Amino acid sequence: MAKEINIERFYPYPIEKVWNAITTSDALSDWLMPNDFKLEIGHEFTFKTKPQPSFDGIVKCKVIDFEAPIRLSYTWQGGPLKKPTTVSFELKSKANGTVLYFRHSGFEGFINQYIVRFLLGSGWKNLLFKKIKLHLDK
Amino acid sequence: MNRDPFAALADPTRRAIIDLLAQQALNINQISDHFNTVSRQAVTKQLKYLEDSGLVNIEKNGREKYCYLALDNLEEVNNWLRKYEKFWNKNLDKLEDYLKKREGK
Repeated sequence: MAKEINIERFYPYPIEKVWNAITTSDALSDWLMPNDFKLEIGHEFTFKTKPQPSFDGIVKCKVIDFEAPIRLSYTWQGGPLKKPTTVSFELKSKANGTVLYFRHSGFEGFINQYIVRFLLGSGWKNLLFKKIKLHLDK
Repeated sequence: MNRDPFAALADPTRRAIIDLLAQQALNINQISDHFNTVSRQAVTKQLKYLEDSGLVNIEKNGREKYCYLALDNLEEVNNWLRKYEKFWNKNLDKLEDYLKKREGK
């Protein structure tokens, strides 16, 4: 099951600047979410945003690994993600800027849980109900 | 034979099987061990039903037949992942805005 998010971006800025933007708490607060990030393996931190329906607005994270200024990964757990997933950033220096390879992976547990909750919870009943209704409306 | 996955889920035994397989892939014996009141034959029949409805894959591994959930292609999952992908794309745009703002600093 290869369900993951991969995004490649080019930023016309030197690698150190991009690295600082993804590894300092202030910068992350600016472009991602308020947080108490620290560049320290094993450091546990949270991202906090406005609560939404079915999401309390808190993402729990833990720094897994980093190597300045080329790679950083941390766990990502919150909302419907009851098991930690992994977010990773890899930077490559180019003549006129930096390429970022972003990856969010580890959704397998989530996919099974989510789908089963959907199927065994109200999801299937609603769908069945809709189907029956469609049938009756014919 | 194709069967409707939602009709497949209307049965409590089949739902219990789905619930078991959500935790891990199991062979047919391991699945039927979980049921006291349902025969192995009946479990096999229900598994076939679930396979026909595209919810479970059954794969032969040596002498054993392993069953696992085959739900990752359901539209719900893809929709959810697309939403998350949108979230990251939007924020990676904001990362560029941030770098622009800080230019020369």
